[in-house]
Amino acid sequence: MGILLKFTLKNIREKKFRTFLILFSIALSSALFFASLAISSTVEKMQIERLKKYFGTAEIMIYANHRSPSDFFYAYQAEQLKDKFEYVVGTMDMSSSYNYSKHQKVNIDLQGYELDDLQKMNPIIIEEKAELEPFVGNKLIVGRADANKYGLALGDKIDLEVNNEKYRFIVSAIAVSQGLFRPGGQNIRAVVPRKKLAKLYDARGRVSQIYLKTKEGIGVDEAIKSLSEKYHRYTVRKTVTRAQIKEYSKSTTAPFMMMLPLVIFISIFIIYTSFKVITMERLPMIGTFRSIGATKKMTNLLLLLESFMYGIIGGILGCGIGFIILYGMTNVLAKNPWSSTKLNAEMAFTSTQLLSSFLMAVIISVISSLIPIIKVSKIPVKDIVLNNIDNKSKKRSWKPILGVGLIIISLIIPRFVAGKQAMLIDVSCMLLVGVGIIISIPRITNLFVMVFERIYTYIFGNEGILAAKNLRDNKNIMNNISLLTIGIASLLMINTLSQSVAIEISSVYGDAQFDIFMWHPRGDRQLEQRLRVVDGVEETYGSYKKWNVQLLERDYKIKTIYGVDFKEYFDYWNFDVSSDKEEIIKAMEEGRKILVTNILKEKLGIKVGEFLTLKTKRGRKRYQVIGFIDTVMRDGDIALVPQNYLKVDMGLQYYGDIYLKTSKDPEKVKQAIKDKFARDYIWIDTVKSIKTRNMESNNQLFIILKGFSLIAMIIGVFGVFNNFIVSFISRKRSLAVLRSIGMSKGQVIKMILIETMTSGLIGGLVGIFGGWMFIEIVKFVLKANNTSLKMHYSPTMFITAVMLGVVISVVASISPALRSSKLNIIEAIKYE
Amino acid sequence: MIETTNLYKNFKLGELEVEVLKDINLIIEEGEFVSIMGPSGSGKSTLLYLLGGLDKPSSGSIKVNGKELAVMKDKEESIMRRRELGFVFQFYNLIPNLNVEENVLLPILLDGKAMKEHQGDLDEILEIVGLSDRRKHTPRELSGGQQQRVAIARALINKPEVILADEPIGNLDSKTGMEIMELFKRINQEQNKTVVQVTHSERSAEYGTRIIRLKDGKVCE
Ligand SMILES: Nc1ncnc2c1ncn2[C@@H]1O[C@H](COP(=O)(O)OP(=O)(O)O)[C@@H](O)[C@H]1O
Ligand SMILES: [Mg+2]
Repeated sequence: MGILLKFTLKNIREKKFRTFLILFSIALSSALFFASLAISSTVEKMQIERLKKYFGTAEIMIYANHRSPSDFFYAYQAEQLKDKFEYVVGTMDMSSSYNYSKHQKVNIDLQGYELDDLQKMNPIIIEEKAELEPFVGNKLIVGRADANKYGLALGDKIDLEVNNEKYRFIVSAIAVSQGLFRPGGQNIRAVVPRKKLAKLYDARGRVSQIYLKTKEGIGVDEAIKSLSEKYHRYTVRKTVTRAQIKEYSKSTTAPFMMMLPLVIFISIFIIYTSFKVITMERLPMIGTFRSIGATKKMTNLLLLLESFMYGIIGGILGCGIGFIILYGMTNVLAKNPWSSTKLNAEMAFTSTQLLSSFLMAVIISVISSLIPIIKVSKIPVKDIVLNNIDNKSKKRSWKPILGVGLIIISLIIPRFVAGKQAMLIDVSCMLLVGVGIIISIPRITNLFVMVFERIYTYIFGNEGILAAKNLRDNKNIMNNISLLTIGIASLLMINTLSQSVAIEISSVYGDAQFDIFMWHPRGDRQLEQRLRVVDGVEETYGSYKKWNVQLLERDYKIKTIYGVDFKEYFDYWNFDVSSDKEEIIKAMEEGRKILVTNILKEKLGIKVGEFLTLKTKRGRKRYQVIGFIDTVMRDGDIALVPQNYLKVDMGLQYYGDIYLKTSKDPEKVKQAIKDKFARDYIWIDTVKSIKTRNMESNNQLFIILKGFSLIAMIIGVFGVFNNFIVSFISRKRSLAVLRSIGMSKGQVIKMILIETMTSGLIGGLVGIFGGWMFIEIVKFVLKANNTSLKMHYSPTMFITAVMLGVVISVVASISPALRSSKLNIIEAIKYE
Repeated sequence: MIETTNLYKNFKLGELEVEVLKDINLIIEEGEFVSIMGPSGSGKSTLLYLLGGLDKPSSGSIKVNGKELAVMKDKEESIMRRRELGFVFQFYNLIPNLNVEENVLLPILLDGKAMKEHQGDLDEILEIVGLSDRRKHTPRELSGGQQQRVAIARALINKPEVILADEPIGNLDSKTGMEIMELFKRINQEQNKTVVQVTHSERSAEYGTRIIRLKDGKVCE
């Protein structure tokens, strides 16, 4: 045993490149595994941090709604329940505007707090202060980043405009830009004494929001119930729900989870092929040892030990690399395109994630080596000693049938599964398609070779024929083609996905026929009139909007229903509609009619003429479907109904969205509106900048995803390199024979290049096909994830993929080809 | 036909320099059937490979058909190997993924000629070596003797003047071995090919017209 171990170690050390390759692929796949797991907790943490800006640690909030008698209310009723809560914090807020230079204004959201309350709920760290305590009167605290940006210093007296009147505040403290002062959002924030705002509102002793955190052991839902009784005319709700955060992080992390199986798949394949070579190489040794009495168990154990070792080392390396990858991903994600400042990114991961990545490395390694080891142990000692092992892949006629069967089944199954298991099944189908392709590759290759053999005679002469013949049933070349196929297919899948998302995103706003998007808490006709007098505003349009409307027959909530005036609406949103727009406009005048998106149509199986029952304030209302619109706005989860019905049914008073057409530079018009409405709590942006920011925020994700698939491809390319070297070793003898009967060095190189070019070509072509199948299944994976995406195939991308296949394999073969041509004929031919 | 003068061959084994062939001077005439004999390790194979240009001598010269091997470029040398020489090795050395026909036609392929035009030659040679009914078999489906016949057919297909064979029957049973020797003899006599074989067995050497004995890298006649 000891001597066996010695041999093994010696071999590991000698075959440096292969050892590197195996460790590299194990390490990378466990690194990616770790990164995919940890990115979800990191994204969750980021999101929580983001929300902390608004809510701190508060779990429950109370605020006024349109049924409330007043915007302000007393906190004492909540304070009566004090024993249930760690804190009860009443706040006030108010928007103001500040002229930080002669012509430039910025909106400042004033947050009214008691300083003690703030420190309990959403602690701030004061960097410098001057006469901050007692925190009363016209004192003001700002964040460091904002202070720097607008040139505010400690002790500065600033005039803020509130309700047309100017009030002077003194900058009494500057705080670290985190938590409440975390950058991001349209307006800057400042903390002022609550009582000061109450005075300005003439609402002494009252508050506009209450934030609460329950004591240990008190259920949040239970607390909300008892608060609702006291504040029955106000909204009492959770600040953020776990589900919200999970939902958000899911959309970010789902793509990684999708990539992961492919990366693991490629790694398993590389380890598997490497181990096949390792076992083949060890055969003489194993044979010798077995012939002198070593048991199968011993030799198997030894090989297993070797793969175990690779697993452990690869796992440790993987955790390290995974750490680096996570760091990179976190940093990319932290760049928030919605604000100019970069968030300080913090990685979040658990020891379980680290441990499971390490274990995965070990498991992958051992499992992938198992089959080759078992196969070797089945070879009779006699055959090993007499070297009767052939390296030709056996033709099994059931294999291509199984392969094609797997492919077909995996393409069909996702169409018929739904529900919770759908995601898992769809991802498994993706893997099965991969397996199916690999199983079918020998047969596919032979078919290609039959064609190429004919053509090559004319293009490349006799070396072409030889090259084509060499491709037949050659295990190493099959492995290369498989690796290329899977690598190219994954790369195509990711690229098609990201490109489709980009196209779809730009097409959302491609339908927008206006320049500025805005929201005002009291948007109505009167407001529109005020908007129209702003210089540069041509036309305005307001639509009503209701979130999360329950569809009664289908147990589904439509994310947004817009109540619109169809006569004008299509001038602002030029959606493709399933029937004539004029007819739709006419039909809309005849009662409760509804247009839903094609995405909802598919998702819910909605038909024209059908009635959808909506749950409204005034009970159940039936809307008849009269057609479909083609848009992915708000993930395509929208519907349009006549505005008068939505207003009445849902009790809406103000516009949800306001669209503006401008005759001047939209940026300038936007600024003008901002100035004009500086006192109001508005949201405004130009369509152009929304577009670019949408693109950017998606780019982040796809930069990372592309990185992922690139790493997968790199692992694949290394695998191809390895295979070419292996194939050179096993072909030495044949090449020497060819040289001895008169093949020149040039001919050797030519033949090998034709071979590799052809295998690259086949890999690329099959890869395209595989990529297409992956994408077809990904559609269902996305569907299971409640998103839907129209795929846009790009022919150039597919052509590039084929060329990539050819280039990779030709480059990988250059060194072996040169080595082959320089080979010492006699040494290779002698058999001793 | 083949002429060597003051031929030396050394191998470096680490620090050590081993002289394997020492001052070999040989002339082999057209139509001869020469057997090189000698104990194991005496340099027989090394000499044969040198004659076929598969390796380079340390010093001295080799002329084949009047041409000096040392000055030839790889391409010329390869062309010479495929047109003027035919190699047969102890371990048949066929290409496993090609069938009998394809293996035999390899030198033609390498010469850039169309396989179809040599169909007649192929038929004739397969007839001579007795493998007409095994054309589509792959090497693994053939016995050792049959594989060696394929190798001989391959060596003959391009109608070379010289056949170089390194222990061609060393791996075969004696009956098959003698059949192969008969084959060489026929080729030598009927087609007037020069045959140079390395052999251990006196019996097979008797098929030839001359014996060259090597001992410790020297010719002793
Ligand atoms: N490539 C080589 N490197 C070092 N020594 C070699 C090499 N080839 C052959 N030899 C040595 O040269 C001697 C002659 O070998 P060879 O010609 O094969 O002998 P034979 O064919 O007569 O049995 C042997 O001692 C062998 O060890
Ligand atoms: Mg020998």
